[in-house]
Amino acid sequence: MLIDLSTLDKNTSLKQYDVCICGTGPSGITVARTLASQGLTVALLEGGGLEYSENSQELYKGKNVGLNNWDAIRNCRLRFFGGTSNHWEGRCSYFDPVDFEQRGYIDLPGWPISRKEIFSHFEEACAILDLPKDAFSKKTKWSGTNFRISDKELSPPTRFGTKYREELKKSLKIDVYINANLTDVRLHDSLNSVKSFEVKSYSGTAFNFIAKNYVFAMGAIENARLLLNSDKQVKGGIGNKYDMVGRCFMEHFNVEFGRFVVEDKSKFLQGSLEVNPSEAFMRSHRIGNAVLSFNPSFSTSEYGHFQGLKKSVREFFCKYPSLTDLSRKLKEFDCSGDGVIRSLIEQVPNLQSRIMLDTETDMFGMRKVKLDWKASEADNHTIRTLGIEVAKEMARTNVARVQLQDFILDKNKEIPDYGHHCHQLGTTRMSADPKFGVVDKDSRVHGLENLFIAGSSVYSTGAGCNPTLTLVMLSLRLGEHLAKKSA
Amino acid sequence: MRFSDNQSNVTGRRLFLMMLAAQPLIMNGILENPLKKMVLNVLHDDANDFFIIGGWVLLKSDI
Repeated sequence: MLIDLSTLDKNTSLKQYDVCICGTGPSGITVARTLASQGLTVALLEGGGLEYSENSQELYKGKNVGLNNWDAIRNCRLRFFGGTSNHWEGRCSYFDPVDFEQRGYIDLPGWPISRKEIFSHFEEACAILDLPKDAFSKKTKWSGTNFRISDKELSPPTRFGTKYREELKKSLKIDVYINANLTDVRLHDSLNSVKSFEVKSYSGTAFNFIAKNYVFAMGAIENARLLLNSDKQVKGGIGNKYDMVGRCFMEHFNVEFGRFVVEDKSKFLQGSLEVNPSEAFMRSHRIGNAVLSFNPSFSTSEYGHFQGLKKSVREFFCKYPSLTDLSRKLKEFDCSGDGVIRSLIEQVPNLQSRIMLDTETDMFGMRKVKLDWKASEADNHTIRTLGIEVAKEMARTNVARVQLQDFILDKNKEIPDYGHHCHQLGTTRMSADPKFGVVDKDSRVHGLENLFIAGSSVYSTGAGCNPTLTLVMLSLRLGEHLAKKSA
Repeated sequence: MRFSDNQSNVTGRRLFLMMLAAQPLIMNGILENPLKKMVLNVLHDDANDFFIIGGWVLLKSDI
């Protein structure tokens, strides 16, 4: 059933549910559907409406005081039914075994669960994301030593709000509430379990949602922000006994290493070449995981007036690299076979990279987010090592020649722009020990019997891949766990 | 600019490297202290198979 909270009278008595989930992105919808398939009743809350609205999106505004003045707090995420899947690009990949290992150069413990525990949901997650049945089965030959070809697939992409809207509307087990903004989490007097979610419509009318179990599925920024804001009964916010809520905010860096010229076109049959560091190489060089993308242009650029003449002049300059360099100082242009190396690089979990609360409040009186995103020396080491070694690998395999930017070769130069991928990870990280994380191996908030967290905020490490596939697998796992717990 | 381009074969490679090597002289005043940069980058050549000149990571056999 679909219910607009703003149409309910303030005296409406709401039914009690088995599970109340806040957030209708890929995590929230996946957990809800899993629970409904096991016969459990679910209240699924969405702060926005069925479509985009400025009114709702404004609630994502916040401040960044860290790297790059990351302006994506408001724009990377979408606050309406289906969540950020509404503008997801659809890239899917998966964690490697090395991502689950305890790595010596990371100060914090790694995942408390095995890769196998997550990957038992692999096929189901692929079906949810509309990936082909033979997904990830295509193997490409590669003659390199320290790098391997990236294993990736593209989802159409799946828009969760569109794909599941009718199913959820018709569901007898799931009630979807739109324009329903979570504003507080109330605990029982014992402070060890959640009593209710306080939820408000845009007119300010408050309702209490009561369930046996509760799930946060609002994304890594909001999950932390809501826990920190819920501080009426517990100083410093819920689940924050060890001051871990909001810490270890991770993105994937998108550093431009430099440019390249293609030597062997046959390696770019699909238009691009994407490689990951091998696991042995990562271990031996104590670096994080990554995807490095080579997307060459295969025609000399031509545009504007006198295209033919411009093309001929550019082609002449393109034949001689020194002339190209010199002429590019006057005007930037592409040569055939040229390209820029882009990257998606794992960030080490870093206690100093964190989400905090600002003093400014939103329309519901909740403190806005203040993000201090930071890179560490371990991250800089990963970036520089990957840059130098992938350049060598490209030369060794005769695929391309690479010209690296000076900050890759010179440790004394600051990395001017870390870039980002609109991936928000790790603010309620999973750890068996509550001193190093917010949720336990079952995604339950430490110290609370019935509050769980879904989505990429529980990532203990970020790996070198797009997060959505893993996020869906973890959500299926959480749904299964909650169904068993409720049985 | 491609190394294996018909019009930019072995001769092209040699020309390429000669011009790179001559860059500090030709482009002095355009690049910031190019000789220093070149020496610094060559120091990053931790394996004997590679040259790193002007940021380009090249095989010695490219010569």
